Amino acid sequence: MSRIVLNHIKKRYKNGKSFAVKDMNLSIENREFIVFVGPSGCGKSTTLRMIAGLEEISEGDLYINEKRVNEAAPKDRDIAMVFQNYALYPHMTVYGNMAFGLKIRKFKKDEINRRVTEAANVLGLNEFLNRKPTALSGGQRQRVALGRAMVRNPKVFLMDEPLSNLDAKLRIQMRSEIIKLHRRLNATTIYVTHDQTEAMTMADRIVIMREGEIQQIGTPKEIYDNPANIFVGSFIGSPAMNFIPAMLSLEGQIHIGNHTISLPENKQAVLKKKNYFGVELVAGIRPEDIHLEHDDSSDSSTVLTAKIDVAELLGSECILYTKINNVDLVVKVKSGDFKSGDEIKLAFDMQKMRFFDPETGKLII
Amino acid sequence: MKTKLTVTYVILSVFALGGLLPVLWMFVMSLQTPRALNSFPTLNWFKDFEFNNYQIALNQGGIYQGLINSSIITGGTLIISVTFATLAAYALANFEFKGKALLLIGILMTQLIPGMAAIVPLFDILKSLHLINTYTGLILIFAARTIPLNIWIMHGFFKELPAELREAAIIDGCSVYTTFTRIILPLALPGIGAACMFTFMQTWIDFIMPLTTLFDQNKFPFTVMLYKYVGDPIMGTNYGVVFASAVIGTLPTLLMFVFFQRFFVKGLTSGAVKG
Ligand SMILES: Nc1ncnc2c1ncn2[C@@H]1O[C@H](COP(=O)(O)OP(=O)(O)OP(=O)(O)O)[C@@H](O)[C@H]1O
Ligand SMILES: [Mg+2]
Repeated sequence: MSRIVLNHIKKRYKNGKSFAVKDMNLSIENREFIVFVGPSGCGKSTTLRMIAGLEEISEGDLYINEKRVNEAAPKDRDIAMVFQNYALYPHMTVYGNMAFGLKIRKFKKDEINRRVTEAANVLGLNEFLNRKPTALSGGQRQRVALGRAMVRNPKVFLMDEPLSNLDAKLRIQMRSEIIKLHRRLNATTIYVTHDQTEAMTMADRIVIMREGEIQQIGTPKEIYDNPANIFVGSFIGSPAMNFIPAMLSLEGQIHIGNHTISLPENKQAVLKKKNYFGVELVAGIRPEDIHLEHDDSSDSSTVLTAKIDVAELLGSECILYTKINNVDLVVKVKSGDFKSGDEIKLAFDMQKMRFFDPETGKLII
Repeated sequence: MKTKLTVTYVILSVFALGGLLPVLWMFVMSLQTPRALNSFPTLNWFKDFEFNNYQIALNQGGIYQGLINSSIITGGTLIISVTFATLAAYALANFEFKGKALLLIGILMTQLIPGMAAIVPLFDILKSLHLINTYTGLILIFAARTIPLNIWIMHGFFKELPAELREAAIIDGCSVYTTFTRIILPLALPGIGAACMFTFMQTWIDFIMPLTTLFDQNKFPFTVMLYKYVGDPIMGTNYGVVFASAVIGTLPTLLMFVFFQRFFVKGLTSGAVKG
């Protein structure tokens, strides 16, 4: 069992003007794979380092297994950490690097040998055991760093952007290897990244942070479908969600540019109840929830005419950067013959449309 | 581009030759017979050179004592200075405490005091400590003199080591002490090599300090011993022998350099972090 609870955790650096982490509340369940994601400087590493014990906690309580560990030394927290730049010991061999933590903890020789050999097997490092880190590729080094964490059999794995120094292809490969490793080891894992794709593909639950504050916690699907605010909607998903200034009229229609679209009853009802009739709103819709309309005869109240600025072919799919009057709209459709300047007809999947309060940025429905 | 390189090399060669000239002079002189030396400036340098001077220098015996004394003084200084400097530099590089910046600058400031200016006060201090005419006194002076720069050398090396190495060690279960001995120290070897080299050069060749604080003839390091050869009341000055002894005395420096040079080779830490 290794549950981690962050209770009103705050961090203020000695020379820092404001809080780098403001009031983190989070409960991480046993064996969960949690990903912290957010733009640079939002406090992901700081939070992770506080959990590791490398950084003092300014305020709040940290519990690992129901035990308050604010003051516990890193070595007493039963955690292992994988660093962004690997941080392998350059004067030791691969074997030495992996064995070091066990040696320091006074494990028996054959137990060390057994564990290192096993980890090397899993990670495919057998033939490199006697090499120094300098003689390894980036991907191999990262595996050694993983191995060093694995052999200790910790309750909690902490990883700070472990893949960001690898090239794109290797990154994708290591992504799935880490997931496989997680399934195998069944240890609670906290994984930090600023790459939303990594977060979406790896996480059981994602914690989205911004300027030291949690924006949303949820499964990738929850966060993708129901972003808590405009920031989350724009941060998760590629290309990002479209945000369109809109106005809801008393007849239950929204006005986007010169177009008028009627809103499904269920959405109308909620907006009405929350007093958003006749006021400015921000409508959000994902690029893949906008479809091409080929049939001219279809209901004109949901079809809009757009002009293509740029068409980006991604193989089977195509990203269209379009304009409806003055509103930018990114659309993801099946590949076709698109040229900039073309006029196309678009239909919104209105059930997928989300509405945000323009002032707070928060999701209304 | 090519001419620029050539010019650079020519200029560097001139400087190198300028630096080498006294050494060459010393070496050539050490091979001359007394007769040849006395006929200066019309030297017949390469006509009747001989290794006789070396034989005389070695047979005199004093030079062995001088080299041993120099080794004791230099060795003692090396151990004390490099040990203290390394520990101090590690603390300065990795731990936060009040007045750290001031301390670092203060350490650097000590280097502004010219060595000569300190002779009389140092002599006074040694006297009140009853350390005149002892190796201990001399070693303490040399250590005090070399520790500041050694701290700066080591400080630079420790600062260059990625902080994550220390953190990885801490998470692996190291204490402050084991982190230092198992991880940091092996990686700081190039720095320690550089500090040793610097300390050795400063101490081995020093002349004034032992001359002023040592009185016992058989405690003299080889530099002072050499000086005593000049103007020997009985033998006069046999410059050939003086030069031969000087050549012998510089050999350890050369050996030190060859030995420590491999520590200067950079890149021992590459592979620790990305790239
Ligand atoms: N040692 C420090 N002293 C003072 N401020 C710091 C220190 N480390 C980080 N900060 C500040 O704390 C904030 C959060 O930093 P942190 O490293 O946690 O960001 P991050 O989310 O990991 O970003 P990145 O994706 O760039 O790694 C930043 O504003 C940063 O400038
Ligand atoms: Mg970070």
